[in-house]
Amino acid sequence: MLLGLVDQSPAHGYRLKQSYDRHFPRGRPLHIGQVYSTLGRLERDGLVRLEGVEQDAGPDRKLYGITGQGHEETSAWLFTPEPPAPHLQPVLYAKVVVSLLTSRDPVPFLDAQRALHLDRMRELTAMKRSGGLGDKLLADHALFHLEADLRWIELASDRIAALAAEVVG
Amino acid sequence: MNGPILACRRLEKSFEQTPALRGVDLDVRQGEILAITGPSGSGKSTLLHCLAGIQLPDGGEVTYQGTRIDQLGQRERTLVRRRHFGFVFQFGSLVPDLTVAENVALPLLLDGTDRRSAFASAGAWLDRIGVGDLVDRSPAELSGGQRQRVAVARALVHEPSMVFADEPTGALDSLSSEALLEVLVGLVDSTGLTLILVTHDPRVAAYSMREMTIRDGVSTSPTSRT
Repeated sequence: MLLGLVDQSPAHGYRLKQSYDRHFPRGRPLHIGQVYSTLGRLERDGLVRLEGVEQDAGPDRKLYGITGQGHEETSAWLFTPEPPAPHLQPVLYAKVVVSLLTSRDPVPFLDAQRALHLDRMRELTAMKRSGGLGDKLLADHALFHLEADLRWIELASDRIAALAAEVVG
Repeated sequence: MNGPILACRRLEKSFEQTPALRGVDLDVRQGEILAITGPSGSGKSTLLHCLAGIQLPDGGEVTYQGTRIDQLGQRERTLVRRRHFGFVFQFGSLVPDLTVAENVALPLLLDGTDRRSAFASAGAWLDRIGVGDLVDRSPAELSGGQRQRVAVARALVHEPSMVFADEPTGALDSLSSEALLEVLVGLVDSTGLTLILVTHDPRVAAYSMREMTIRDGVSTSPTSRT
């Protein structure tokens, strides 16, 4: 997710944390130490590079930008649907927001995610049809969760334009 | 048959100035269950009506078993529907003044089958679908699930090659919905008929073998990436 924010525009650690807090206020809290350690790891892996040092009244701040490899890595993350599982919504939301921030169209990702969810629902439906009552009840539980995700995906697709206006400004 | 049993190309349909279908392409294979999904007002029911020859498209082609049904006159299209297609709608659409048996026999009677044979077939289908004890009831006496089962019997009594089901479980609770889908899918398995299922409900779409999503009159391939 942090890589996606660097992909939006070069930034130093403090600005990245501000951007994260602004776009994902209900996400998992991100501490400034995590931002710097993640940037160090991304730089080591060739996904971001140091582009300069910002100097103002405070301490010097290293400005990081995305590399070609980092841009590709972000695209791969954004366009790869997540394995259908419970509690997926924060990741799906993050991918939509990062897509919009980096001028990518999130709809193909949402369509691919929808297809993967429906494939899993087909598997669970087949399990229901061939299994006993226990299997049916277990499958029902998973199906209702996946259905909730799918309804969210539908609604997110319908709200992309409004969300883009809000996120990108 | 090697090619699709039903296909459409570049299908266009508008109501007044509002486009409902904008260049839809689709191939349907014999024996498959295809779900057409999408939000309300996306054009999925209009697509079903055009595929089934209920409505004529403004542009494009609809081909059933090699015949351009969009080029047929109204009488010929009615005959194709009556002999080759079956329909199940959200609320059953049973004729309220007829008994269950009369409702199910109706497609055969309209097509000239003698009464004895028509009622024998109706009874056999009602038995097969598990509502054989309801033959003399009126639709008003049935539960929603029973009405839909009767509607399925009526859709199949003339042994069509395709069944079009438009939100068939839309008015049913979860268990009745599941039971009806079991009946429909079981019939596809046992008879080889082709089922086109229009639904906004992903749990219903999960009974299909393949899904086509339609949004604002345009079909989207769920796995394509642009």
